[in-house]
This record gives sequence, C-alpha cells and structure tokens, in this order.
Amino acid sequence: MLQTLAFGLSIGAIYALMALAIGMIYSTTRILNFCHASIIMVGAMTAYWCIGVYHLPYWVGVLAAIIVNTIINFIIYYTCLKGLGDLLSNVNWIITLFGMSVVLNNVARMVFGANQNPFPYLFNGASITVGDATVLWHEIFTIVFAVVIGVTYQQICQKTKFGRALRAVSFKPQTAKLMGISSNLIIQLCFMLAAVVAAIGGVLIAPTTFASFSMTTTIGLKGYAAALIGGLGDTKGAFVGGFLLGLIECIITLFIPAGLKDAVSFVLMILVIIFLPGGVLSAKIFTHGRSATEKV
Amino acid sequence: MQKSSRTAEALQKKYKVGLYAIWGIVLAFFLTAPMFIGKYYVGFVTLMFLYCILAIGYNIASGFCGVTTFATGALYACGAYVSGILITTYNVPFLAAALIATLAAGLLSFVISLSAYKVSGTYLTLVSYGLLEIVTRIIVEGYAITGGSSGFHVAKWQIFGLTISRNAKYYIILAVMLGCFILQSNIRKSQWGRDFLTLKDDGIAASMLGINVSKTRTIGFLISALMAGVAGALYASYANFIAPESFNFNCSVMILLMVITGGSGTLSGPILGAAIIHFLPQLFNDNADLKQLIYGAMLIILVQVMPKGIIGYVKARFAELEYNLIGEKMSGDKEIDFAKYGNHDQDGPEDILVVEGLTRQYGGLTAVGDLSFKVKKGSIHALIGPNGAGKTTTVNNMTGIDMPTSGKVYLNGTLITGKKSHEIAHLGISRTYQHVRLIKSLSVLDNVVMGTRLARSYGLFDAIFHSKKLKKIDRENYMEAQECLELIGLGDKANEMPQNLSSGQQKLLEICRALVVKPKLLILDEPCAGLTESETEQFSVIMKKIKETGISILFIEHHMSIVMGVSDMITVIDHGVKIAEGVPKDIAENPVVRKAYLGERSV
Amino acid sequence: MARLLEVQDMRFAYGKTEVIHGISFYIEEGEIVTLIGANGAGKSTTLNALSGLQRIASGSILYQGHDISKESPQSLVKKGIRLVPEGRQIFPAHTVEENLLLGAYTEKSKDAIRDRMESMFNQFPRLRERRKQFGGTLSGGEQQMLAIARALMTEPTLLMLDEPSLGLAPIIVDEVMQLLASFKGTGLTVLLVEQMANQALEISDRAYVLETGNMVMDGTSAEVAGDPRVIEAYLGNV
Repeated sequence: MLQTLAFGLSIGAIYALMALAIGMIYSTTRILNFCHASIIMVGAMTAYWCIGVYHLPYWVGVLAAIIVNTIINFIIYYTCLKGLGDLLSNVNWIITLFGMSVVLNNVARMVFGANQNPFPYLFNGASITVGDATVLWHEIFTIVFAVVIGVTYQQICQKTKFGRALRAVSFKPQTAKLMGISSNLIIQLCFMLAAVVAAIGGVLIAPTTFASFSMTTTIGLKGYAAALIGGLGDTKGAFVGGFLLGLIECIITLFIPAGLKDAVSFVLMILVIIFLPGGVLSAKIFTHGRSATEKV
Repeated sequence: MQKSSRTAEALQKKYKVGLYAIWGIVLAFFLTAPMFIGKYYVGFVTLMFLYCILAIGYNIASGFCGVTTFATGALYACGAYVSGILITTYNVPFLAAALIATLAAGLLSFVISLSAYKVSGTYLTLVSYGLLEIVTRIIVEGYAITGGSSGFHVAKWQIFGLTISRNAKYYIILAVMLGCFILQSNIRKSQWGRDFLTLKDDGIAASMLGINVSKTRTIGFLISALMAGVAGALYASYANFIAPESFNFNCSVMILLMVITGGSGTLSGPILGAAIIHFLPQLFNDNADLKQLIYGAMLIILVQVMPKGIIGYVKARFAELEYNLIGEKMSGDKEIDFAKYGNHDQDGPEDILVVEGLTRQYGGLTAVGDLSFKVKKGSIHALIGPNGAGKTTTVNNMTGIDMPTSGKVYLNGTLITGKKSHEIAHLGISRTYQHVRLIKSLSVLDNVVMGTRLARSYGLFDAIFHSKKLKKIDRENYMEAQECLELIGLGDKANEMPQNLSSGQQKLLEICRALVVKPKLLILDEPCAGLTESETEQFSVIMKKIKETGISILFIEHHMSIVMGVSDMITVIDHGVKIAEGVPKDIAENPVVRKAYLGERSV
Repeated sequence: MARLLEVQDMRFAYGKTEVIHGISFYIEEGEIVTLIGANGAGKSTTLNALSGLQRIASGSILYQGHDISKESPQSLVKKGIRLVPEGRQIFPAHTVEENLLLGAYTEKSKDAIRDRMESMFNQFPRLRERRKQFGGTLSGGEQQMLAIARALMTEPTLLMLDEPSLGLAPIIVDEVMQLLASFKGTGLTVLLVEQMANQALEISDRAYVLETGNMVMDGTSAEVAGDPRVIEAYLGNV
C-alpha cells in the first residue's frame, strides 16, 4: 500500500509540475500551452542524449535540457503567438500550439529515433524498505523537489519585484504597461520559467516512462487535467490537482485494467470542467477582487 | 448606388457562369474518373471523399459554431467500430448498422454539447481532446470486442446481399459526400446558418435576438457528429479493416488542417482542403515522419498567414458574388414608413415595464440597489445618471444577460425575471448595446435579417431541404430588412460588412436590427455615443417616429439635449439608487440631480 | 512658458474606422488643461495614444520637443508621462503598498522609492492606515487616491487623468479636484479628461472640447464654461 502511495504521489508530483508550468504561462497570457507535453519530451530526450549516449554527468544533462527547452519556448513564443496579436480575441493559438506540438514530436522522432530508451533513476535506483514496501529514493526526491519548486515559485510571486510585476500583468497587461512594466518581457520570463520546470519534470519522469519521442503522449493531457482539476493558474491548485490525480490513478488500478486508468483521468477532467470550471479549490479564491461585472 | 449595384448584378452573372463551369468540370472528372485513373487511385480518391465528409462535418462545428475540437477522430472511430462490429460480429445488415453507428456518433457528441452549457472556448477543446483519448483507450482495452490495438477485420461490404465492388464503393461514397455538401450548403444559406455564425461571433447578441444558444449549438455539433459517424461506417466497410491508429490525434489534426487550408466557415473550403492535404504526401512518397511534420508546420503558418484559407482568400476578391440584390428587385416607388414596425397589441396593463426592487450585488459591492420604476406604454423613458451609476447593469438585469440578486421585472404584466435572454426576446424586448454588438461574419443586410427571425422563422428540415416555406419566409425577411435599412438611411450599405461602417452608422444599424423585431419595448443603451451632431439630430427624429408607432422606448443617454428633448419621463440613478424621477422640466430643476449628476459649482 | 506637449493633426483608427479625425492641441508647462467630451468622443483614445498604449495613424505628438508617437508606454513612464486610467485600475489582489511599489517599477533606487512612499503616505494618511490591505477592498475614493499616488511615485512631469470622477460621490469628487488644484505651482502639468466638466473647468487653466473625433472648441476654462453650446451639451444647464 505504501509502495502504491509513494508511486502515486511521485507521478502526482510530475503532474503538478506540468500543471504549474501550464499555469505560469496561463496566468500572464490566458492561453493554455498545448505543446507543453512535447517540450517535456524534448527536455528528457536532450538529457538522455547527454547522460545515456555521451555518458556526461547527470547535472550536465539537466542543464542541457533546461537550455534546449528555454530556446524552444522562445521559438514557440515568436512563431506561434507573437504574430496573432491579442490572444484573447484571436483563439487561433489553439491551432498554432497544437501544430507546434505535432512538429516537435516528429522532429524528435526523426532526430532521436523511435526507440524506447531506459533512463537512469537518481541515486542509482537506490530504495528504502519500510515494512514490506520498497520505495525508491528517486520517488521521494521527486515529491520533495516538486514541492520545493512550487513553494519557491509561490514565494517569488509574493515577495519579489518580478513577482509583483507578474501578478500585475496577470491582472491586466494594459494597466501593467502604465506602470512601466514591459508585459512582453514578463511573459517571456514566464515562458522561460515554464521551460525550466518542464526540463526538470522531463528528467524526473523519464525513468518511469522511458525516454522516447512518444514518452509524453499518455501523460501529456494529464498536466492539463491536473491544472484544470486544481484550478488554472493557481500554484496551490496545481499541486492539489496533480497529487489528487496521481493518487486516484494508482488506487484505481487496483480495481480496473491498467490501460483504462488514463480514460478514468480524462473522465474526471471532463467532469471537473463541466461541474467545477474553476477547479476543485473553487474559482472564488483567485477571482477575489477581480471585477466581477462584464460591461455589455 | 443604382449604377454600382447594376454592375454588381452583371458581375454576379458573369462569376456564376464561371463558377458553374468549374463545378461542372470537377464533377464530370470525378464521375468518370474510375474509368481511367487505375485501381490504386480509385481507392485513393475514395478515401479522399471520406475525408471530405469528415472535413465538412468539422467545418460545421468549427467554422459555423466556432469551437476548435479534436473529437473528430473519436466520432469517426465510433461510427467505424459500431458499424464494423455490428456487421461482422452480429450479422446486422449494412444499412441498419450504418444507421445505428451514425446515431451512436451523434450521441457521443452530447458529451461536448453538455460541456458547452457550462464552459466555452479552450475548455471545450480540452474536453474534446479528452474524449478522443477516452475513446482510443476503450478501443484498445476492449480487445475482446474491438480487436484492440491489432485491429478488427470487417466483413465484406454487402447491401441487400449484393457485394459492393471497388467502383461501386467509389460512387456510393461520392454520393454521400455530395449529400453532405448540399446539406452544409443549404444550412449555411438558411436562417440556421446565420444563427450559427451569430452565436459563434457573439453569444449575448445571439440570445437577445431570440436564439437559444445552447440548443442551436447542440444541433450544430449533432449534425457535425452525424457526418463523422457516417464517414466512419463507410470507412469500416470500405477498408474491411479498422485499427485505432486510423482514428488517433493525428487524424483529428489532419481534418482540422484540411478545413483551415481550404477555408474555415466557407462551403467548398473543406473539400478543396481535403483534396490538397490528402494529395500532398504523394509528393514526398508518403514519408510518415515528414508528413506529420509538414502538417504541423502548415497549421502554424496557415492560421497566421491565411486565416480564412484558400477559398476565403479567393472569395474576398469576388465579393460581389455574394451580394444580395434584393434592394434592386424591390420597387423603388413603394412608400415605406415607420408605421409598419408598430406593435398594435395594446392589451395588458398601462405600464409596459415594471421594475420592482431590482438589486444586483457583486460580492460586497452593490451595483444596483432596490431600484423601482415604471415605463408607460407608448412613452419614451430615459434612464440617466453619471458614468458608473449602474444604468447598463440595470438593463442587463432586465434582459437576462445578468441575474439580479433580488427584485422583479414585469414586461406587459408578465414576470420576466429569471427567464433566459432568448425567452425575454420572444416576449417582446429588443435592445442595442453601449458597445455595438454586430455580427462580423454577416453582411449589413444579414445583420438586420437576424432581427426578423423572431417574427418569422422555420425548422431545421425546411433549411435542409430548402423548402417552399423557407423561400417564402426568407424573401419576406430580406424585403423587410432592406426596407428598414432604406428607412434608416443605410439602404446602399446592405452588402457591406458591418465593421467597414463608421461608428455612427454601426449604431444606426444596431437600432435598425432592434427595430425590425417589432418589439413591445425597445431598449437603447447610449445610442448617441460616437454619433456626429447631424447624426444625433437624425436620431432624435427617428426616435420620435418610432414612438409614434406605439413602441415604448427605454433609453440610457448622456447627451443632455437629446434626453431633455425627446423623453416623456426621466429616471435618474446614482450609485445604483434612484435619486429622482419626473418629467424633463422637473428633473432639470431638481437640486439633488444637479448636485449628483451635473456636479455642483462650488462658488 | 514653454510648451510641454504639442499634438499636431493626430488621427487614430480602429481597423478601417477612423475615430479621431486630425486633432491638434498643446499643453504648457505647469498648466492644468481639461479635455471635455461625451462618451465616444475619443477622449480615452487620445489619452491612450499619449501614453503609448495605442499607435496613432498619422500626425505627431511632441513632448519636450521630441516626437513620442512611436514610443512604448515603458519609455514614456521613464520620460515622466503618467496616466491614471479610467476606472482607476487598482491592482485588486496587490496590497496598497504593493500598488505603490508597482507605481515606482521603473525607479531603480530603493532609497528614492522609500522616500516617495513616505511622502505619499504623508499626503494620503488613509493609505498609510491601509497599507497592508488589498487594493480591491478600498472604497472608490480611496482607490482614486491610490491611483493618483501610484502615478506620482515616479515624480512625473505630465500627469494625465481619465475621468477621475467616474462613479465617485460628489463630495469625493470635490476632494479629488482640490487635490489636483493643489498641484498648481509644484511644477506638475496636468491633463484632465472629463465628461461632466463643471468642477474640472473650475480648477483648470484652459480647456478643449472634443466631439466625435474633432476638436470643436478651445479657450480658457472660463470661456469654455461660459459658451452656450458647451452648457447645453455637457454641463446640462437646461
């Protein structure tokens, strides 16, 4: 049971990191980054090449993944979003971002091949035995590290000048501009942060899914599911949604075929979208203070 | 104007000849193609026809109803698997199986329709994506029935015991495709098509024009899903083998790309797009990696460079082709006046509108507090107050766009609080908006025709079969819309797009659209904002003429001269509370009003 | 006095629809100028163009002798042009203090920020009391004070206010107007946009009247306030 719990929480932590990165971009631009799953894959594959193929140290792989992801996120920003103008009125970003995810997946398949490559666990796969349960240190680290990232991001948002500016852009880019804030710069920094989080998430999930061009096709949509279940753009919500989803999936596999567990997650996502569009933490928390009336 | 439209008529005739010629050649080619293009290409083109059906269906959901969905693959799979399994495992005859499969796909579309009741836009895209993944998982996991990931062999295609040959498959699928195309075209050219585009552009304007947004959108998705279901059933029997890969995310992306390439929202765009995208991989020997890569890149580039697709781009060059020349066909000497918009139903109480204790709070903030007033039948009633006093909020709470926290509103004695906007519209309120809400996808004339739908409309079957009833009603509606445009001085702008009008003309157009509804109560929200002085004068004349017809008017306005000039009664509100009420003379002299509203001169 | 701002033949269009048809006006250093007009006359559009939020179609905007019509809002803030937007636009989920810090976003020196915050708190004691409260919880009048204080955090040269009286009780409007009048002689130049202009005209030196994108009148405030057309259309003297 403990083993299932640890695995569920570690998968949940990955979902939470995905939801967090999706939320970072959503909060300033009001768009859902539909190629986030592909970015995670690119990060993991880059790290795999460094670590698995060229036998470079682990940290070099992670650093390379972060750099490659940052570059790709900037490319996405300039090729898919910049040209569309106001993203609230021009929803074609849905199409360009999905298009980009198709491009990234196929470039990855052409560059890295279609193999499922084993990826090393952290701490050489060492584990700890509690009772009859064996828990990998990698899983424990994943959970702790994800929470650390979440708390750090929350602190950055609340305490720093960048955080204040980020929240200002999130409220209204126009008003933020009147303060002398470059909304564009803040948005690009958010894309960069999201890229870093994606790289870390990719490296942490790769041992479980194996490193391949299709490693995120299954878990890809889960990030959005976690983000929506927790409430879009909400840091705490991302973690609530992520852990909840991870746990539910692990528990439910005890009762139904493993292949259907993904279907259950998506059913859950659809139900939350329909019945609690603001996420399980209820929308009130972050609509607080925002003008509730839309002038007609 | 006479000259330009005569040219338009001549151009239209010329273009139409060209258009018919193109269609004739294309149709003749595909009708005779199986005789000379060889076995491989017969199959190739048949598959293209299937994609055409899918693309047409997708166009109805996306181009008409405005939702980017990835459910196409799921609906297609549903049609294919239900039909394939029924035929092979349960020996159901093809026609029955195809019918059941199509209905099953239709049923599946309700998942998205139900979500559309609650959420919109991106959320719907995610729901559809989720649906696609769920359907794929079920197919893979239900291998006992579906054959799982290794696929499913479907029995030979037979209809009434006759085995269908390759060429017969080709013609059957071509026929179904043409049927879908005609269906799409008939819907688009009917009131239903205009309804779809209206709700896509502006849900609030749509519901105030009497469109039940949720119901109409559900029907749009349903038609779209039925087409995908038919395509699936045909595919299963055509290919004799179905596997999950044929219906995955890439399939949905491809259909999306077809519609984008050809032109989303256009009629022939999906077909052209399907042809191009289906043929494209032939140029690089069907290399699977390269194919997907190019599809993805095309999506990114096309929506930014050519958002209206090839057909949309071409159509802009031949705009005259779509001109509605009803203005020409009408006899010019016919006397038109405002009287015909009069609402002669004078039963009911003396007050057309009664507002009792209307309150609207947002969180702790009271936007409107315990507001009560009455509008006398046949009068012009002004609602004034400083910016931010709660005037627009009041009107929104009367028209079902917003729900009041408490209080009651009666229209002609009927309680309308709690009713939906489209129901209130049917009861006899029409309105304009502070910031115009015109439908960008429709011409000026079509915008006004949207107002006539409340008085006269028809069912979906009339639209699909282009019935006599439709022709009669559409003719009457267009005549009336054109008349109203002439009356208000926009007759020569009928075929312009609304966004190309000046802001004053846009305001007048919106009033025109509200007037053809023949409402009991006309609500105008700042009709003079953005009007030039001469337009304002023209407007005050129009307002008095409307009053003569017996229509009651409630209007919000800042332009004092017009408020004092035309109103029978004025209600002044400030901070959501009524501070004065009376005839213009009393209001002008009321010290409370002067202080709150006009700003007091502190000596 | 030198002209701080000079707008020449400015045109503005949304897509194909031109909404400002070539207007010209100027503001001298230290003046308070009011721009009057009904809803939809193009007042907010003019302010948005002056603050760099929207690009004009043609014409020029000279500020201290240089054309600023193509500059970004950020660089205009640094040059001393601040706009207090319509509806105040306080950041509702930021505290009062954070709102002020955001106002000083372009200021690098921490000491300067601290000093100015202190002087703002001295000028607006209510804000000091509420420094830890969220902006969204303030009353309308307090929000307006905060919006002005926020704009003053960078010690601007030209302060522009878009309908500061919007939705405020008359007594609060008086307070705001008195505050603006008190800027006279401090070197601050004020451009005030109002729809209902009685009080605005009382504190300002000169005024312009904008009507559906055309400048139809200008003069000293007294002249404009005394013009029968203005009285009829905007002051509501019926």
